[in-house]
Amino acid sequence: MRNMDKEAEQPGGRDSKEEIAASIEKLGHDVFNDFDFNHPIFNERINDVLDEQLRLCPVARSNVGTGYWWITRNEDIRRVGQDWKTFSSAEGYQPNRQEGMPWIYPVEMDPPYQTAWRRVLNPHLAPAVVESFMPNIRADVNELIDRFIDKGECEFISEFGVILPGWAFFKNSLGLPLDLLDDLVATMEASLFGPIDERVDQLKRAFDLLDDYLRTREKEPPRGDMIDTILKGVAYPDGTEASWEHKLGITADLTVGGIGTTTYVLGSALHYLAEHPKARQDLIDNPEMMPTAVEEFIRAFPPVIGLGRVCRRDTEVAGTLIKEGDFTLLAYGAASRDPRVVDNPDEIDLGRQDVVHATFGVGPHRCIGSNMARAEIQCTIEEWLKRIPDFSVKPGTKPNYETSQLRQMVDLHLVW
Amino acid sequence: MKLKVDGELCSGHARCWTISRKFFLLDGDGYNAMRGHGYLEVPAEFEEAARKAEANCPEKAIEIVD
Repeated sequence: MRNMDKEAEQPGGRDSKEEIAASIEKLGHDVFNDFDFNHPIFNERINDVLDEQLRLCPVARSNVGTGYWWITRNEDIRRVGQDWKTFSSAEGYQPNRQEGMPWIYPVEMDPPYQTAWRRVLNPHLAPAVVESFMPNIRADVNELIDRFIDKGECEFISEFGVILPGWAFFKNSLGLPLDLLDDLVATMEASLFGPIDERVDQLKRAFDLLDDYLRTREKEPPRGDMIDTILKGVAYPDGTEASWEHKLGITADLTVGGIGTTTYVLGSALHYLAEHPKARQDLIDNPEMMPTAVEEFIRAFPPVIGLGRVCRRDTEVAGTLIKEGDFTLLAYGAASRDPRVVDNPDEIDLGRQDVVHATFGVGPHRCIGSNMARAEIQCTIEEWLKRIPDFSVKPGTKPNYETSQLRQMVDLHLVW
Repeated sequence: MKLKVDGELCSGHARCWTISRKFFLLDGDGYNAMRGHGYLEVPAEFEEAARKAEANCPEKAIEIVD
């Protein structure tokens, strides 16, 4: 951390070296100068770690592999995320990228290539379009609830949380067949959270499934879904046409974004509601609260913890010099709980008036499925509370989590 | 009151649209339809919505001038 002394000079700051030493002792690990998002402490105490970084060290350092910077404050993340010319996505979202890891697009592309794809993909996921899917999503929520409501219990993640996002996105927008969902969820999850030396092979398996399907669809008449838009391709401003590898990478990015993220918010929201009867009643009595409540759940439970950029020229961020070629991560998970933009960030306030967060990213790479995620969360909570208004966490259980650059709830046992 | 939506910074979060669908229209891509159109007059009835949208925009793309 190159900024330690500078921080100590800031008005109102006490001796930050002492505070940092105390914090390292309290956490039992140096998350400021030796951070690692794969370290168990990050999974176990994620909010404590992020809060301490936000308080004491706006740019933390990791020494894993070739090392990376970890930017936490909302304002810095906004500036870096928007400045795609200085902070490029074209070398991937993962630090220490493993040999052979397939590329996913457009997250691992810069404008104007990324822009060309967003222009044709955005209309499929614009708010008004997604809103027209909500009756279908509600029906799917109810179909899943029908499967377990009479049991009086469920394991929410496997019986609902991983299924609904796939159904909502595949059926209404993307156009992948539902019979691929289980294999795609398994391989994509293993590529994100599984043993590190197996992650490349797992993602390649997912790519093979998608490649086969794209080749099938290429021979069929168009259906008007996102797969058709992808297969049609785009022309880039330099006169080249998108390659097959780009089309496949686009399909993979949409798939992992669509199925690997919202599950965590759904699980976390249901977990919170299971433990807060008054919040359930508030939402039942005041349905107009729902849009802000959904946004607050999205703020409080960001599934994408940090995405990467490579710095193209020496630049200072919060007093730290980031050099050309340095790998830099934007910790969206921290920016959504930065007390500089959110009052009492640890408190979940479903009536919160201004909900400022970076859960969907900032800048041109803003999550393309943000409106779909909101629709899935809203339909789930509304329909769930109609069918199962009173529920709790199964006694003797608690949810388990996995964390890397993304965060995931592994299981959540609910009873009613 | 006048309001400007920055044509570069608006990234289609659509938080403004959720705050007031009457005032903040979106284009077919889901981005604010006012982006890149300079300063536009805000009718009195939408001033509160405009301020709220300014506070909630994750990109700080909305600028208000009284």
